[in-house]
Amino acid sequence: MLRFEVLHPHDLADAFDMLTQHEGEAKIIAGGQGLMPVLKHRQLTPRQLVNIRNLSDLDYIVDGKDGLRIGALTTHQAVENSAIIKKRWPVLAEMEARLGDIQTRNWGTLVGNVCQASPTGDPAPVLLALGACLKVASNRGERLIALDDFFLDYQKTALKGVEIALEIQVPKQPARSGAAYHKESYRWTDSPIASVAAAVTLDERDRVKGARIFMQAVCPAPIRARQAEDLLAGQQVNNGLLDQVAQATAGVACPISDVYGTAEYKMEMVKVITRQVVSQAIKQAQAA
Amino acid sequence: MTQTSVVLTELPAQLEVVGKGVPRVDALDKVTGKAKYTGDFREQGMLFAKLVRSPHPHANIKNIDVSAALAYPGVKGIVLPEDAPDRRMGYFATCDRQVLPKDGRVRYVGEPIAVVVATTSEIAEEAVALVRVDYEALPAIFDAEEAMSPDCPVAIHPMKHTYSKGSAGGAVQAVPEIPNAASRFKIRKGDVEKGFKEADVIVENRFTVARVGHGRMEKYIADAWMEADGTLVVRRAKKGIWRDKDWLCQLFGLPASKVRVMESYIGGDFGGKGWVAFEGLVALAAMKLKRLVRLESTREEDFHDGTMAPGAVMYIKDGLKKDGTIVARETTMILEGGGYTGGGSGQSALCIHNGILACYNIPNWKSDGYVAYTNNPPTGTLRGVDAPRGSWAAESQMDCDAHALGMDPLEFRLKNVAREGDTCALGQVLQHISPREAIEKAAELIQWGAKSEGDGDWKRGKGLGLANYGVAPMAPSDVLVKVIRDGTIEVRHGTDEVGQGLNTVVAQLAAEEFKIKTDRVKVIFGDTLTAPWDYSSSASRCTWFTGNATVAAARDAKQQLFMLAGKRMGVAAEELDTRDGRVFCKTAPEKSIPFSDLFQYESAIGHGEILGKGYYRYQRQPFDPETGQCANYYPTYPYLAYGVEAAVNTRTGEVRVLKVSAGVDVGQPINIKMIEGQIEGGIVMAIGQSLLEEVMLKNGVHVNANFGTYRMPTVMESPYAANIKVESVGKPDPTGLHGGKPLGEMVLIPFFAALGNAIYDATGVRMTHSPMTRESVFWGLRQHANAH
Amino acid sequence: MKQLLQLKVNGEEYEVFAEPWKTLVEVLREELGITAAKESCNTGNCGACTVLLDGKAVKGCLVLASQARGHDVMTLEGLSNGDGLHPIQQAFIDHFAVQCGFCTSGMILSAKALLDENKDPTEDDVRKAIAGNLCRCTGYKKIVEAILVAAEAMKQEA
Repeated sequence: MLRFEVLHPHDLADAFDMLTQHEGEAKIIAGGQGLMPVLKHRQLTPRQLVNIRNLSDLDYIVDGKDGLRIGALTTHQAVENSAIIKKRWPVLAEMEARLGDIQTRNWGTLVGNVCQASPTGDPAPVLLALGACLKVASNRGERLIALDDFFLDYQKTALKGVEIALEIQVPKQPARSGAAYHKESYRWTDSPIASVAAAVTLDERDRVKGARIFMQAVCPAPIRARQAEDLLAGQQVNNGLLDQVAQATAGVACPISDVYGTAEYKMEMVKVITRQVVSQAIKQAQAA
Repeated sequence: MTQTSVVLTELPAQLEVVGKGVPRVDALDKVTGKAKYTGDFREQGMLFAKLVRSPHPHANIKNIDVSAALAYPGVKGIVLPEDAPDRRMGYFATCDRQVLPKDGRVRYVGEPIAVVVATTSEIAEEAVALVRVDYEALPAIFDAEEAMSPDCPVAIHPMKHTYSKGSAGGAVQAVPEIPNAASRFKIRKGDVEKGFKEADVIVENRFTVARVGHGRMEKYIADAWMEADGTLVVRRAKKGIWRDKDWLCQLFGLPASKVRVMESYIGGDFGGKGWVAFEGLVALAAMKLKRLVRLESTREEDFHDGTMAPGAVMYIKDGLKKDGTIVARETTMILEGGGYTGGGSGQSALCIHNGILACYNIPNWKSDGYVAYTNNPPTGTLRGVDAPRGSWAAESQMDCDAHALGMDPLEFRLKNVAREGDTCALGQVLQHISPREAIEKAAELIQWGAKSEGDGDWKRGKGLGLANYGVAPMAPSDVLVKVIRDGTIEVRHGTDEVGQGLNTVVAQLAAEEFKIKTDRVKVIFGDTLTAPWDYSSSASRCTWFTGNATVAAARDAKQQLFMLAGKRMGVAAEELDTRDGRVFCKTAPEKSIPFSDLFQYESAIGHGEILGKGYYRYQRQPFDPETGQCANYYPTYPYLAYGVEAAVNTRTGEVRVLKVSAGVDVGQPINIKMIEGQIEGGIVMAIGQSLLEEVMLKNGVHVNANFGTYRMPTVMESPYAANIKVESVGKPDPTGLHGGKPLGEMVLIPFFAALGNAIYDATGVRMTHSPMTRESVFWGLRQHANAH
Repeated sequence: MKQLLQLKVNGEEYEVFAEPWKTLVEVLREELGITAAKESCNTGNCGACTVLLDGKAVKGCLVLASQARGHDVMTLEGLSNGDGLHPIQQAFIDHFAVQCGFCTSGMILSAKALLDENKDPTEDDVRKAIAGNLCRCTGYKKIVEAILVAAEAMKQEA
């Protein structure tokens, strides 16, 4: 294992100070389920880790009047099993139930996964489709970053070295909305070969009022399929349109050939998954 | 004391312990966490070694500069090629590997060049990065068929004509006329050209298979130290204490009394824990530094240093009569052996045929098996020693044959299946065999003939596969059986508990002899100081060899016991028998005496303990290297047939194995629960190797040497518990121990083709490359749809 | 470089010196001699190092030892306090769920975490609970069967 120092802040203020003091050299560790393998493979070589896993007051799920707020230290498992999330944001609970294995979900956190910005992370496309924001803070104060603006490139995010993500905020979804996520993977517990999340809102005549479609694992960072969304806008969805939407979604994917398969195969999987999640999201919206 | 070798023919009805699902004798240790594995020992002050490895697939080493590394704080020493012996090692076929590349050449990415020893593993690793090696890169070759071409510009082992054969002999031949051929095996039976002329239909195919790894849970780890009297001690997570002891003696020119080898419970083997290269490295470090040194692989290194199974290209041609008879078969099989084949794959030129040569009665047979050197990582033995590769080709071919004739694949197999008295491809007469019953049972359990329904995007199909296997009679076994005065029986054996359950098997055999429960048997193993000579838990030989020696030793001990008791009881020894820790008179069972009394009585005149000794060996007749023919190449022929029901997703190419049935002929099973366990485990390993697992190489670099992307099945990719069905169909083999035959390695062999045949049944797509990844099935479906 | 670390393992408090980068499984095995949890893949893919933190299964190779401070760590050694075996251990013996034994510690602890939360698991529940634990020997069938039998036994006991 790589050598590093681990700092254990007593509270957030303490953590902010540590990050400021070691700016550029320190990394935050929460559950570390994504970070630890990266450290073991020497893909990152921080001098210090600031361990926030044991801080209090950051483990919560709140269903507020503006939407859902999930604290930085809330585990995947807590999200997966939350009654309110299962009822109001089922796509989140379903995504979490397919993330890695139980051990990972028990110790890893949702916000940590987002900040890790792995190009194969399951939560990002779902949270993006739902229009989520990240509340971050440093000892200079707080700011809110729309996830749309958060993922910059391969494992690069808008989070500054001195900042800590405090919570993820998922806005209330409008009436007649639905969302779905699906990944194709080799094993049940594997990272996706490709995955797609879609959120749609319908009008009273089942025409698509709004749609957000995001892909994961087929680009250096999650990517939005705007053209596909535009194709859906104002339309009642049928098989022919679904084919076009799938095609348009794959059109913006930029996969590489690697141990998860060839770029061509990943494109094909994007099409298959897009059809599935868009029609699922629409069915859900119709039922809502 | 006597040396005896016995063959037992008791009927199953007379057996009380053997043949039953007796609980494993090691299970209590293992469920409580008390079982010790090599890595569980840790000594104060031990040093840690890390290896400097080649980044080049093929290069000459010009210079090694260790000055910066030696100066690094905490570094205690560095072992260089100049410290290593010249001798090349290997088992079976070819001795082609030096402990460190003293010949100045590296032949694969990851080949160890030097050993850095330091006070912590972190320091050792950091110092490895400070070693400067100058290389002269050489052209490299990665493809087996290119390497085998006579005008290949690269010669990987230019001195291979000087290499010797391995200590266990080996049936394969050197091939001086082909520069990169490591070994060859030929089979010539009947007249294959005549057979093809008589045939109505010829079916020809080419099949390929990727490299796969063992994926055993416990990695390589070894400790070595020198004792005060100059004895080298090596304690390692590997099998074959005596084989390693012999090797270490040969390597370092040490006398037999000055090497001690130890092992503990082994966390899985699957053929990958036999190769000695690792011990050579740590022993060198201990001898040079005179300290206790630990060398532990990372998971990535465990792939490199292991003996992964080679990839292969296989051509197969069958001549068929319209009535469904196979009249001739010709195969050419080329294995991609990597930079070195001493880890056992040299023998694969023969072994790739091992799962197919006794399944069907084929009068005319011609095979050429080759192992090619390339600049990929080395290869070696993996469960079945490449018999699964040959079977993948041949049992897929059987379905192609059947379809070419318009026959049902089961009917076609039954038409040709080997019968009692037929000769196999090696010319040996087959006796006490039940392949027909095995395939019929597998077909019955999978409900062959009942078309399974698809479900939406999922199409379903069924497939069959049959395999034989040969237990390799490589070396004899010695076993000691002690009688302890409290009635406990102690068995000492010199082979290994790799998880297969050998300790339970020998405990059952000894318990049967003394008519006690297995919890009164203590099994001692894992140290050349205390355990008698044996070869290793290899080639599915232990039940047959170590088992036979156990019974012989128990009978020897019993004989001594009866002599003592006879004198005490005033009865002739022949009148006596034993049960539950007492000796009794057969004609008057009320006349009995506990073991403890015997010792009290006799110790006064010098018999403190009773020590029985047993021995077993098998004498193979000479075989003809030009034809591969041998009258008794293998002592016995077990069989295994699988039926597989699979579902194929037509949109994604994903394949799920829904149900697997097994009909197994292991004669009279010694422990049916452990047989089930071996087969169930083999099925899931085979699901991995046929669908998910693949050693991916890019210019000689293994790019997925981790458990994240070398994808072994989890329980989620395995069938539901009730959907794996195993039934034993064999009849007792009177030449076998209690009528039993071996099993361990056979459990992978027939699965690959059975699954490929099920995919064909479901979709009409014939897969010719394994693993049948979801992507390859996807493109196969595309191509099929475009063609139809 | 080594730092003082307080850990509570199997109900006992330990004070131990370890380098800050050491993982929980490394400190358990190397510093405390508690060796039932095994290190196999070291990347969180095999589950052989599974231990319980406050009753929940985690991978000991992906948790820093210092992060376990303030939590109850349980290893296989702590499962049966007293003479008898835990019903899961007994079922693993009776149903041949053990072969080489290297995954066994993690498997049993994953099973315990499941059965403590879910008294009446289905086969699917069991499969999902041990999906993070690789076994190369058994093919899982006998492990799944043993866990289902143990669930029954624990219900009878309760």
